[in-house]
Amino acid sequence: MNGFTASLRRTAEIARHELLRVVKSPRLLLALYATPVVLTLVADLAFNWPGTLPGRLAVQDLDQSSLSTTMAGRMLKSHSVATFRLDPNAQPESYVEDHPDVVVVAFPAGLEASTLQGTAMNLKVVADRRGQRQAASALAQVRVAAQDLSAINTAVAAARDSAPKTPGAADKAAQVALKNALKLVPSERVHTDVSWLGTTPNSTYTRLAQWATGNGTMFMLFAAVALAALLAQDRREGQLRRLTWTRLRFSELMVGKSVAILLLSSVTIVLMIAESALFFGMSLGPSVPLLALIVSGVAVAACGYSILMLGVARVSPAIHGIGVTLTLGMSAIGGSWWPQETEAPLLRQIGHVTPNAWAADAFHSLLFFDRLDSSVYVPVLVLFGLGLVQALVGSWLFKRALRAG
Amino acid sequence: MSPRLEAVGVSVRRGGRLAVEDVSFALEPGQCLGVAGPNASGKSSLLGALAGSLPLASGRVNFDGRPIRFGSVPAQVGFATQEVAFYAHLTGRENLKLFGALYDLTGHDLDVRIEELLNRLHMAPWADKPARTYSGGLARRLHLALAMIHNPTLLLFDEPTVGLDPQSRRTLLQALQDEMELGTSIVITSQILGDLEIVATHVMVVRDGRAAVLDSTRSLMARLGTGMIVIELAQDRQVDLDLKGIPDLTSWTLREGVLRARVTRPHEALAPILARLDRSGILAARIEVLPPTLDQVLTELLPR
Repeated sequence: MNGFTASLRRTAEIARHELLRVVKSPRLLLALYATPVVLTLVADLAFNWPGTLPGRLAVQDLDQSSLSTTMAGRMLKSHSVATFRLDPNAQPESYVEDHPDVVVVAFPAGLEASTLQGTAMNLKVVADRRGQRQAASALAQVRVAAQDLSAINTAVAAARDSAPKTPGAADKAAQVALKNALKLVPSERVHTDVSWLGTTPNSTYTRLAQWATGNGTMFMLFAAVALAALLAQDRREGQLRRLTWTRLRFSELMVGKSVAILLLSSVTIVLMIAESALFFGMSLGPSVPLLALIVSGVAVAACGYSILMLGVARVSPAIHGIGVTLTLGMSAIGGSWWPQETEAPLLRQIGHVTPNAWAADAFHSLLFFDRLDSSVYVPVLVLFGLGLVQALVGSWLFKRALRAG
Repeated sequence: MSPRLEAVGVSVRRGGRLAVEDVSFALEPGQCLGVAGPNASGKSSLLGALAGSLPLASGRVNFDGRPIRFGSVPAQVGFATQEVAFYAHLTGRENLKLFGALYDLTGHDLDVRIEELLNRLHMAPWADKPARTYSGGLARRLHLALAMIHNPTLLLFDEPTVGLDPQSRRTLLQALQDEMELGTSIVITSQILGDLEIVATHVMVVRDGRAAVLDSTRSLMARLGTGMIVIELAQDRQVDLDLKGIPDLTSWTLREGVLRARVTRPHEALAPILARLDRSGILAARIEVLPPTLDQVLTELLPR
């Protein structure tokens, strides 16, 4: 056996031992993977609860006038939300209490009479906070109806103003104006013309993908911290020193352990992405190999982080304490919990000292914007570099600690 | 030809003070140096320095003529500290396999060596049980077996018999004697002088980091040259006994019906002592002639 082969064998032996140690231990498996898998399931279910009602709009006409009947009729024909007519005798509050997915809009009694007199009357809307997520489409329809009523009201008021000052002329002008407005208002509606800048996110820009990749990165770092603590325990109990008394070189020891950390921490995010993709339809983006490359980049960064923790904190309790706090902090500012794009520019800049931010950059470019260019490769390169530098510094510190006993 | 292990003026600094000071010795193949001394006398530090796991403050250590450098234990050295260290989640056999592989042993050779050690240290029945279930004695035997897995030519064992029951102790000491017969050199530290008496060809007593005594075990015994004659008297009553004038008798006591006489030549002194007993009308119920123990020798030699 030549020197290189022997070195490779020893390195592989260390990696194999470390991997088997985790794989054969239900406790370690639970500690590393149960939380991310269960939380991903919970999060995915929360974002995509099967059978969630899409939200409905109930229209109650208490005026029974031509104005209210026409307006209610238009709302009931809406295509963007399920609608139905609510009995005029029903109590909107108690109905919504029982059906939180329903938004009730009531055309109040005296609406037409008030409009003809040139006085605006508000629409009554009842919605339950529990159904807020589903209420968006219904409320959009209500806002459109309110705009239409405002336009009608303005037209009627203007007609009254310009009518001759003879008895009954203003009322007659108001009647004509109302009739015309009811015909014209929908076609004369003013629309906003928004210019969106930047790339349009694809349909996978979902909370689900943000969860799986962002929190996946965080849980990889947690796994790295846990594995660093395991090595620190080995050091305290003398196994690591003993390993260095064999033919095993320190570099072989560290590479072997790193390979194990790399693989074991990768499993975390792979499980989370696979779970979201298989059971909840999360898209894997335009290139699975590139997604795998990003995961490897994050794994290298997590491995470097693990070894740095080992070199700096040295003992298990310190590694757990510092590691968990640091990982949570990095996840918060690095865009693991919410899209970095929503953060203040300064915070985004600061966030880029963390692997989380670079991981988020790469994942977002690939999964949200379908990019296959430098916006993916550069963050991945940074992740590799970051991992390597951390691993080298951590190894140097750890070697000193190991020699000191 | 250079000795197997040579220490020249070795000093080790620990915690700001010299834990080992100017220790020198040489050990040939098949020899065993037993290092004795009270707690914190520097035994473990000396062993660490010999293994290369502690830095030398001064002096040098050569193994087969080559200097041992700090931070790299030579592959032909088997080093076992006082604290046991192995992977508790692995079985004894798996531990031996892992460490054997890290010494580049593979396949049949490794399997044969594992079986040999398991049998020699009487560990075979527990070989496939997780090491976390091992008793203290078994754990120590595994700890030592890991240091011997690669057939080292030099064994450095720190307090190897601590926590072992008499049976395990005998097993281990026998295993060490077997290794010596194969030419392995051994340095062991121990506070149990009886153990050193069995295996050590040479003894060093360390006090305050210095080698207070260093000699071959045989020569140490000869240097004191004493033995003990113990005679249990048949009667328990108070007796008048005068042993003055017996040649070779250095001192004697008579307590609770047991006469203990320290003599320089036990066999020559026995007959006159029995004659004096006979003259005083005292019958002996049991007679025992004991050679000197290392414990006695060192007690005599070391200043209090």
